[in-house]
Amino acid sequence: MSMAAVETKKITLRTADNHEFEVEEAIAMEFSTIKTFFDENPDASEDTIPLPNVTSKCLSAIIEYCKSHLAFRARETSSSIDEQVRTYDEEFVKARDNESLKELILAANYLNIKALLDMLNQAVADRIKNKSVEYVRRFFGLENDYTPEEEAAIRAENEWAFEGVDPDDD
Amino acid sequence: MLSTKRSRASSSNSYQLLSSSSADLIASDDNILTLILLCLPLKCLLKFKTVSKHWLSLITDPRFSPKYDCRTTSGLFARRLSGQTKAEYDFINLTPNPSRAPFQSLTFVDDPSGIRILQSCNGLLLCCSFRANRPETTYYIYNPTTKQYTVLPGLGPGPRGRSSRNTFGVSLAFDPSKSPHYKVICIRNCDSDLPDHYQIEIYSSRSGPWRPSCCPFAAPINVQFKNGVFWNGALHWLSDWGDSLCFDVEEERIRDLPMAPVVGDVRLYRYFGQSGGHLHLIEVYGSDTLQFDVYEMERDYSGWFVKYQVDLNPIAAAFPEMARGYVDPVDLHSYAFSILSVVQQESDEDSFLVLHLPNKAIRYNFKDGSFSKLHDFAPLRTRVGGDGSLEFDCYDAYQFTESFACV
Repeated sequence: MSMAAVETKKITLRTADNHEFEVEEAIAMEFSTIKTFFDENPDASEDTIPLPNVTSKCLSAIIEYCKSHLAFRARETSSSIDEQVRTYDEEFVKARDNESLKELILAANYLNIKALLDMLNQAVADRIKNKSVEYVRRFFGLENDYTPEEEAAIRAENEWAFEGVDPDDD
Repeated sequence: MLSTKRSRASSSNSYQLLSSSSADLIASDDNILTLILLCLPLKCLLKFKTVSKHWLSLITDPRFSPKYDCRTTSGLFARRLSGQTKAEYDFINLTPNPSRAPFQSLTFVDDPSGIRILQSCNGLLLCCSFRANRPETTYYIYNPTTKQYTVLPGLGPGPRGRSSRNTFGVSLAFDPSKSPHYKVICIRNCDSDLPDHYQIEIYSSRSGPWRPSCCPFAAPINVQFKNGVFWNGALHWLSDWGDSLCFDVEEERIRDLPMAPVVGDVRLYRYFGQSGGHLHLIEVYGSDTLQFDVYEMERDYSGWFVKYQVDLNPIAAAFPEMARGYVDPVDLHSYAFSILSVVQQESDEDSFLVLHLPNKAIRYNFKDGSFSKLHDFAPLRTRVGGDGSLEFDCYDAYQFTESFACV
């Protein structure tokens, strides 16, 4: 048994698809939902925390994100660190398709990780902002509940806002 | 939320498992949806009103206030001389993206006299019936982004019900960064036993009807009450002879506005306006000078300082039609140019001047004096003066700022 090493406390999380993740306490505390839970139940730290609303795919991405951002924050603030954070965030989002982005948003919302949620929301906003109204309906799985006349009337009021729309290629 | 019991999965809450229904979950979670909407630019929000009725209700909810820089001027409305009852406006786009004019003439309500803009203030327009200065002039507040408008109540005969009271100026005071409410200030003459005195009446969008404000005050005859500029919580009016005035809208107090001494008899100012949270003044003396300064007022009113120096000689070389060959009796200058607006951006380096030369509008960048053409004005059917004449001065140009403000 090594005497010198300081044991970092680990928390066990169980996802919806029954995978267990062991994470360092510092990372688990980034999830405000979990932090609040431990603040209210200080004796529960040995327990496995069930996360029925988070898949293992999402949780592993979120853990990576929190780990990286914790590491960034541990370094001194400077404009080059800011630049690296921006690049990391862009890369985090870029490769993911719309479905995974949405899943991540729901998970970040459930786990209450504000910085991640803000970043993901902005990423979704950037993805839809130049798209057509039809694309946005498909993206969110929404029905058009306007009659053609109603829709035309609102559109006519703001015709100039409909210019410059990207083609829907996905 | 998280269960405190160890062994049981929290089946007691009502969440569904993720996978195929994530879209529905976001769509039905107004909190998340609102957070996403808040990240979108204004133009998108207008477009996405047609996504669904639910989105329309979220976007038009009065508590929904998007993050946007309300100081970015994205265009100018320039009022054409048309000789008709309806005022027509050309739209000068100041953004790098192509953009269509929000309107060409004001038809939001059917006013038989036609409607014209009196003043633009941080996203809202104060408008009135085209044939103003009649007792029946109707005033409107209009938001050109959302197309909403409101009709202001009539001014009425005045406190003692005496017959004719003249209105010298009506101005809008609106600062969305301070309050969603606006005030409209009207300068009228007093009842006849106090000649040369003025009375201010105020209308508030929050607390309602016109009411007199502060005591009657005496003002120098030449104060241009028609052209008030709202900045720093106060309305400012220039006088080309004597002192200029400002009216603190919050404290309802009139005070003097310090001006530099006039060169000669009369102040020859070419531009007085607000942009990006700063108050600017341009005076041009000398009948053939093409170099002048843009002054800015200190926020504590201690005085004007030189903000930018302008040299129009390269522009005069590029546009020879500017040279008149004679000194114009109206603007006392031998070159044809007028200043439509100073556009102050977040940084001084991106700020610029919008100039009017015969039949065109030019952008002059303060940083390096570079310039580019912004707009061609289609020639008018009826043309007063020769080809070298100017159609607009700074009082015919109104800033367009996108805004979701309620009227």
